[in-house]
Amino acid sequence: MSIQVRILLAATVIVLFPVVLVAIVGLADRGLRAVLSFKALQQTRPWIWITPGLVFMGTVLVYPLLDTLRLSLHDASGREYVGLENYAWIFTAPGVVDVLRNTAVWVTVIPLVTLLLGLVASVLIDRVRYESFAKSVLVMPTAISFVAAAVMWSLVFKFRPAGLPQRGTLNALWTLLGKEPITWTVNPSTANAALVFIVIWSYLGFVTIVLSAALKGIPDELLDAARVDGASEWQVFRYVTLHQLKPAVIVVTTTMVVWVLKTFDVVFVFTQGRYGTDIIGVRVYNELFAALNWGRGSALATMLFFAILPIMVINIRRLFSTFGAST
Amino acid sequence: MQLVALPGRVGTHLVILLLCVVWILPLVEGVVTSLRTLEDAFEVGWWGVFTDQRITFDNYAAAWGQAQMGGALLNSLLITLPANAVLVSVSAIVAYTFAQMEFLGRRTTFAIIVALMLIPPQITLVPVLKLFNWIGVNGTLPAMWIYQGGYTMPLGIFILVAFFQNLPKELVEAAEVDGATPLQAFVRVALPLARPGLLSVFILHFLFSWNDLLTPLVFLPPEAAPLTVRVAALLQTSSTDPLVVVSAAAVIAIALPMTLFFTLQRFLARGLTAGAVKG
Repeated sequence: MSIQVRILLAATVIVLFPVVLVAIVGLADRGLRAVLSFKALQQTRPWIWITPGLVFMGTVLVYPLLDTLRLSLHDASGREYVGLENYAWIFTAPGVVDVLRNTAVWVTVIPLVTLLLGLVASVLIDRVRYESFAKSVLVMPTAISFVAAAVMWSLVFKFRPAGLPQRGTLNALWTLLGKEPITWTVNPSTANAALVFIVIWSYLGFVTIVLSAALKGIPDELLDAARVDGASEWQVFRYVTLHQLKPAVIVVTTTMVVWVLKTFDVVFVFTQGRYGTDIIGVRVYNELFAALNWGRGSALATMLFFAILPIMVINIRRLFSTFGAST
Repeated sequence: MQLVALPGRVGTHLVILLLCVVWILPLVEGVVTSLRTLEDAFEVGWWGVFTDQRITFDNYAAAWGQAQMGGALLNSLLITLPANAVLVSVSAIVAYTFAQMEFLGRRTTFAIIVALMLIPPQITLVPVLKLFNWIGVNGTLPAMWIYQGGYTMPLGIFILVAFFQNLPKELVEAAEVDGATPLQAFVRVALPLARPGLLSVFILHFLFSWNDLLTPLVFLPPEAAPLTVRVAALLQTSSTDPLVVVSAAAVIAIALPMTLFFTLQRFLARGLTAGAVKG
């Protein structure tokens, strides 16, 4: 397709898709009004209105999920049934368990550190006049892709052998302290930490925004009451503020766990999983599209799904306990 | 909220300052590097700009032309904007239905949608690829629109349900009394009032789609590659030089999302806060 045709097609979709969507729903709605009783219409109409959405989500989310579960029990080409062989491979093949172990490290360290930094940031920022400026700085990485971040951080992490002037900020400061320069992103003892830090850099803004909003929602009277009762400022923070923040803390933590499990870009761009940085989200891709083994890739993807399943259950439960009453 | 104790006044400012400096450092280093000549960047790191006091826009010309960032920018737009039109319009009508109508199976369907918000893209890739090959859209723009529009839809619906639930039911009822059909009431009354919510979904999806590397890598051929794929390829093939052109390419890649970020920051914050399931 030539570029002109693609531009025209895209512009047409932007303008016409919403119009056509409403027109189709409208036609179906009118047809139903003609044939159904009022009561039957009340029950049928919502299903007509949500059908376009169900088609999209069924196509790219529900059907693929089920098909991946099926593929995980088949061979590399997806044709022959092999039972649990692919799952046995995960736990016996050299190196694959290391990927799971490293994923576990990521999933523990990133949410924990980001949460602690976010708590410190949101509490402290709340007390200064340049609050909105500081928040903008911390949230800015949210708008930056991991690919662009990889370019900018690889400048910061740049390495030159000892004796030559350093061009990257980190090694420049590091050698200023009289230490030997380090190859931060290709050294197995630092590469993982470097990538983990970049992910924390990217997610801190989200955590700070959510915690900061929750912090402002705590009624002043609650804090004053604790103070009147003789609590020290630390006790007020520990027993009142933290307790009130608990729901927000759970939300940001579970969200980050899911994000970390899905992580692909930052590792793919920096190391492709070398130097001990491989995680499940990257390994799935490599099995599927580099090793071309759909069975093993799907088995790993299924493990990823089961890791996220408990969080799905938690979210649905929370939904039903809060605004579930009206849903 | 007033917290007098904990770290003192000076300590507070120092901690925030340090955090902000570290957080903005890569951006400063990237932008400054993109404006330096190759010779200068070979000599000394980005701080050298203060002593040699020389900047150039040649790297941007090279990135835009030889490194094909101009074409990649267009590709990104051609992916992101139509996918967004699909996502926002479908999410809106679905969310409105959940928020304003009572029907059998509503709770269960909504619970499934909330679960779908968390599906990792990696699980969906091969089946979707097979499906796209079968219907003949693989490697084309519509493949990206269908995939990305559908992938963000559960989140879009979730955010918009909250907006439509806060809409006073009387407004819709008044329109229907005036003779509007339910669909007309949705389009003419509810939709304009939900504009902040629609903007939140728009900015969230824009950032997801614009910044995504995985799905264009899987579904698109190299000649249709968006910015992320081009910049990643540039970075991987030029990791030893001082990266002046790659830095310019990265700045080109973040220019539009950063602009949107600053103009729509309010809506992004609302979307992020609402998107995280409320406790």
